[in-house]
Amino acid sequence: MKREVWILAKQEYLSWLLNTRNVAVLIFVVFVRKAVVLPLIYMANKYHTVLNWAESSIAVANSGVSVLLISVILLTVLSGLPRIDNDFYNIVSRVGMKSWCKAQLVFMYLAVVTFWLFVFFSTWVQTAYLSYIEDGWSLVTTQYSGDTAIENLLPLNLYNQMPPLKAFMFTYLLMFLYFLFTMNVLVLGTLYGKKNLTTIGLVILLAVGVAAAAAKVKWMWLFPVSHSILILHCQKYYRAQLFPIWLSVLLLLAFNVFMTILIYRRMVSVDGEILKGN
Amino acid sequence: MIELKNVSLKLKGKELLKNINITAENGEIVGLVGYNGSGKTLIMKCICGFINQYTGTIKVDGVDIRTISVEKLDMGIQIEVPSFLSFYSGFKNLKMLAGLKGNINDEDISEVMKLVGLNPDSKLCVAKYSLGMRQRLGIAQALMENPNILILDEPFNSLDYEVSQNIRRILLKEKEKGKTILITSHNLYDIETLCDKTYQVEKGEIV
Repeated sequence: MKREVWILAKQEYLSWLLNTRNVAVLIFVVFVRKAVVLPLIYMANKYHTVLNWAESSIAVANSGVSVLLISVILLTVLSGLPRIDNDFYNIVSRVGMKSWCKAQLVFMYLAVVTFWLFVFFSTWVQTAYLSYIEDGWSLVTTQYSGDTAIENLLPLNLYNQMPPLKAFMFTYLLMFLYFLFTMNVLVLGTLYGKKNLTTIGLVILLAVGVAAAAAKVKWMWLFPVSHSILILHCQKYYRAQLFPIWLSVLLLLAFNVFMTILIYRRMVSVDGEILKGN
Repeated sequence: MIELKNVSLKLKGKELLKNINITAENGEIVGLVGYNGSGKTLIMKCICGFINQYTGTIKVDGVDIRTISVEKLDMGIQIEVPSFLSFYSGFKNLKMLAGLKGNINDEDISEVMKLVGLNPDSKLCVAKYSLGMRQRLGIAQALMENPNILILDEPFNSLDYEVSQNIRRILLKEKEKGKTILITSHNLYDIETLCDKTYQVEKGEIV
């Protein structure tokens, strides 16, 4: 990688970390605490038992509402990407359009990984003190979920079909690929000077996808967000999956590769003025 | 040297520039004057390689800018209202920009900041800068790498009389060094007192 690409990506990343817009992640933390962490802790305390280390992190990514919230927060905290203000001219005149675009892509990957890790750690840390590290579901999930939200977040579909480690890995792999998909679409839209329109389109795609997933209609698989939710793939009792997980991984991966190629092709010829939406 | 020959620009079906012919020799300050929205900034963006959809030719030092990427043009530019990372000091902002090319050091940055009347040791973040200070910081970033060509869009905006005079002196010194300087203004006085040649831009045309 060219030296200036890395320097610029690093500068963009550090400025992004300091951006006040990131306060939006607090909404996520509060939501997770109320909807996932407190019910889990309550049931664990009630029955004098402990949780599996991965359960809270899996639960947070397995409901349409939380995926909707996580995605909207992702779009909010990364809405400034790629950063195109008047400083843009000062930067592009020094590094050129191609290096600028590459730096924005590197910055995007760094930011997506950071957000993805944040989703995991901010949830995990709240239940870590009450957890054990073994590859087996806790009694809270399998026996004592009762009428609480846990029954919906960590349902039969999941714990009957795979151990927590496998569920955790698939959950976070699908989530990561979905985050990348969202940001790749946003960057591509920006390269065509349609950033606002792309953002609106992404939110609509997300909302309709979540609604379709909630209604469990067959055409929910037309929406990328459905592929990112692990429990939608699994049945309650049969090992056969409603939609193969590996195919969802492959589809999201293929979309991301395709988008990246389109982005690269576009960045070679794009005008600075188009990027600014003029 | 900058040379525009029959440059026209159409964006979204709208003709924004019509048959622009401009020449700026080495050691010359050339001014573009016109009302806001007349097309001055668009001409500058074309010269800097930010817009490629124009017809006609633009040559910088004899090279067609379509055949060379933006960063290889030896230009210092300040286009539109200067904007920087607001939570960093002026020095830090310039240092970050300078780090992209890596051909000047901290001393060079301090010097250019002093030249435009800014304190390089000040910890004041850019968010707290006045418009005039931002303008000076914008000019400093254009000057700092000692480019052969300076493209300055409304460099005297928001500057008080004394600071304006200082910037004029700086530009005249740069001109003496043989640099090509292109500036825009909507104020005819700014241009007349400084430029060797003036083009009036109206509705995307030179009149």
